[in-house]
Amino acid sequence: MSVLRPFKADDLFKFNNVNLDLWTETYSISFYLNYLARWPDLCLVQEAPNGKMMGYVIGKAEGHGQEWHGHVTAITVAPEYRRLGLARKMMDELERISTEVYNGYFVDLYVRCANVLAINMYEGMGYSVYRRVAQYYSKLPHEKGGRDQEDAFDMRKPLPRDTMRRSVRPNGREIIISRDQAP
Amino acid sequence: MVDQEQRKLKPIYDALDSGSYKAAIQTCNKLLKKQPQHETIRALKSLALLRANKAEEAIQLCDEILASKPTDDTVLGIMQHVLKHLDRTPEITAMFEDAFKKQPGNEELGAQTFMSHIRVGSWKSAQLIALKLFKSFKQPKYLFWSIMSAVLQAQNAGGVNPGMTDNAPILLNLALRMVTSSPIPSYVSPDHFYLHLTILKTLDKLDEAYEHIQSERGKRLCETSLVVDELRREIFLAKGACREEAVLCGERLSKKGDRNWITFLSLIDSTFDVIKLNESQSKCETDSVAPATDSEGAGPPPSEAKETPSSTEGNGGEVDPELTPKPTPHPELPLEPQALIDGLRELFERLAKEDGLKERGGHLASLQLEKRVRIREEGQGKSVPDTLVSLLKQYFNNFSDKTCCFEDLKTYVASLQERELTSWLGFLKEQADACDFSTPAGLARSINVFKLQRFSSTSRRTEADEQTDAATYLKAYFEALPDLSETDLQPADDLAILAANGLVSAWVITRKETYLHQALVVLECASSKSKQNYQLRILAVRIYRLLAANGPALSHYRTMDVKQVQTDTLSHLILSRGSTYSLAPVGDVGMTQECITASDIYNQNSSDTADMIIKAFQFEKYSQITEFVEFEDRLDNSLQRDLTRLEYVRMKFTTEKLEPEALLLELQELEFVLEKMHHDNRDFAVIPNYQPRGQSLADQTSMGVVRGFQWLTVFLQLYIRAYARACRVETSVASDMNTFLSGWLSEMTEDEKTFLKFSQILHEWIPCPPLLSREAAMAALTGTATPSDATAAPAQNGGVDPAAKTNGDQERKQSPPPPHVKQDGSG
Repeated sequence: MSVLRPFKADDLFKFNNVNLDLWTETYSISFYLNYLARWPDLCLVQEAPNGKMMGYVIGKAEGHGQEWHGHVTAITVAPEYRRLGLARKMMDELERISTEVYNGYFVDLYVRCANVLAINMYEGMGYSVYRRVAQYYSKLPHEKGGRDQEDAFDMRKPLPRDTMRRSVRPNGREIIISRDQAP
Repeated sequence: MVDQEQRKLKPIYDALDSGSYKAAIQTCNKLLKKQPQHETIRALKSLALLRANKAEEAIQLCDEILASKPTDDTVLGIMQHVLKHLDRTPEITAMFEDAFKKQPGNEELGAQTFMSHIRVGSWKSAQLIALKLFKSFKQPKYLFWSIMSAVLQAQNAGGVNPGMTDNAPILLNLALRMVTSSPIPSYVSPDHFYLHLTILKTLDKLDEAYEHIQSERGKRLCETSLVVDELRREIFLAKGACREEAVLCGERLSKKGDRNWITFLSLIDSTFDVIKLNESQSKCETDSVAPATDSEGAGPPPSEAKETPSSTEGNGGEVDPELTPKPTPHPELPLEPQALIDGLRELFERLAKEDGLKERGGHLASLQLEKRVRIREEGQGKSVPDTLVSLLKQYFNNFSDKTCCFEDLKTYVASLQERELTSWLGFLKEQADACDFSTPAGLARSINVFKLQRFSSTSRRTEADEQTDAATYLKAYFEALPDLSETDLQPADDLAILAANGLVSAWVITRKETYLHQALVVLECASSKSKQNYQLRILAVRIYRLLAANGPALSHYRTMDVKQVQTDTLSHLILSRGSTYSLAPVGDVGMTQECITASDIYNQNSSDTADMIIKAFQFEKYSQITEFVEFEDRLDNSLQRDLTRLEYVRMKFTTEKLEPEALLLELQELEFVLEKMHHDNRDFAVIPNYQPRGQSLADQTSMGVVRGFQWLTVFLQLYIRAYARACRVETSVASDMNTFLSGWLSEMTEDEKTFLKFSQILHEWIPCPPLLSREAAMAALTGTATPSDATAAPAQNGGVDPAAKTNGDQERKQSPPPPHVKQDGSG
């Protein structure tokens, strides 16, 4: 239960309680405004009844031909509002817009291979590993590093337009591409 | 031919990209020997000179190139960079205008000219150029650019006094005519539709807007675009279409699986509006002398229209019956108020049952409904039923294992009456007695109980109460604390924060510093076990500063890694009255550095945000443009920005020798700041607050009264007066601050008031020397130096802007940026 509303430019003044969390990066002004200037309907905020920001998602639409899809660039929920199913609601909406407005074939996202919790959550939402992107992330300052820390899984969920279910494959975890090959 | 040209220029570009500016200049010189008039190479040389910090040569070359009125795309692009770097953005516009005049058939040049007007906020010129582009090249995009520019002009967006201008109706009607005459309909995209509806709404053409929304395409856009749907709701409410809103929200909740809280709220609000409307209409029918059948256009007397209480949530509950010319009851809505309310009750209970504990919407909506019913019944003098307390208990039992339970219930607890509070507190006491910290759910529940108990407490709290509570929370904290890895947040952290809240309260009651020490021990201990918890750190920063221990405060603040736009909203945590703790005189520049870091974002804003406004035009996202312009303005005229600027000035005074030639420029900057309309973007909500109702931990831990616009004005005037006296020039600031500012001192501490008095006495005591004109003063201050030599000095000395650029920023330094840069000539 929360207000689902569009992400707006002045939310940059309000997102401290979400962004002060270690796992959420704060980018330059242009980063956020660039998304809003191009895909405002894929940028959403969840707000508590008292007006506090609970979390947000920032997405885009990209790709050519059968690769045309919605992409989740960032999704985050403030610590005090976790385990309420907010991420799922934001993903649902993003998938709905990717289908109804953009008519994409699938929605995809990148996640550290070591982030098992997140991977399980996305699998619960119908996503599956499409491929592994080597050395996609930089090492975290407080972690040891290693392949699973730095590699990303590209996870995809087919949308109704993908009638052939080309964005799903059983052996996705074994298919490895380099960072340069990733879009 | 083109290839050859590219090969020739490549070494220059490569040198520029790799930062070898000297090499770039040398290559340019070599090539210019053969082709002295090669425009692109000359432009690149100007850029290279600028990057190599050879501002004077760069400016000279730049001016020569501009005088030749270039039209070449590449040259214009490079010159745009050069001018931007020199802070001469308005000249970019003139450059493109000239080029487009020379080649009116060049579409790209026209578009660039439009963008350059947008960059500086000349909406009127932008509108005309866009229209010209549309007429020449027939692209609908240009027509919509013109429409959007007209709307921005009507709003005076980004101007000194934003808001509707006098000629707004003319501009908006013009914009509307353009929309109607457009070769493409507005429903081609949500953003075109949004722009169209905005114009109609602002012109108060609500019926027309309503018709568009109710069209098939309109409905579809409302379903797929949250931005459009928000505007739709505003238009429905403005039009008084509460019946339609209620039916729509009811349908979305019951049939379409919508669980957006805004839909719940809007259903409740609009239903109460319907009740009000029904009542006023039936009253009107009975009271009316005219036959009861004709109720069209008749409204109730104003006194009665206000009889029923409106929403306390600020959801715009007022309905003006005159706005609803055809008040026919909706076939799907009953007429009786009780039936309407019962309908909502049943709906929410059904949803709560269907959704179970996975979804809080239906459950919380029952509470919201009871709150509204209660306000209505209180207004009618009826006794208040007990339903709210039992619903609170029910909600608590269902969701107390969620961290947000306390936040959910706060507003409803606040509306309980004394008698109910006793029952509610009794319930909480039972829960507290059964506290169990061994499971995550039990721990979350216990924390909710503590927070609610604290918030609901009725009696006047004593030192002993606060001590006991703090001890309880602390005991629970150690009991609950599991051993987690360093990267996790400890679920028990809130108990430590609660204990700190209690200890701060004990300090507020007694002013015994030892309580603050104890609070810090608790926070430091918890912070060492939960390194990522920013709330613990924020509280520690506040309390360390109260104890004048700025070092540890600064170190906690830095660990939070506040950056980018956060420096505007959060730097107040460390910089509020920061000069008090500046150790610059003994060589510790930590605090001055913080001022500089915090001010960087304003440069980023002025260089980058305009680009994003242009991007929104390019991608035709008209729903975003006004928001972007407002964002840019809020950040550019941020209160915190100039509070920091003043702190920086005060820190600098204690370390740096006053450079005579910098004085006048600093004076002009401060005078410019005084003219601004400021926005307060500071985030105080991020400071965790678990104090009893009506108290705020942010206020309690503020170092001196929270400063605002008045404080800034008083201090600016004080320094402006002193600078003006030092420069021997006149200033518009009053010379007697005793009388002028008597009502403005509420934001000042006692010490600051004394400082003000001291400054006044000093001002009166020092004899006033004969005044000079500003030019004469500049010459006097700089001795024999020419004005252009003098202007280079403040940049090295830092000026009063902590983030002032140090590269050949001459044009701006000679005179502060005109305050009306963003306003159109006509504005």
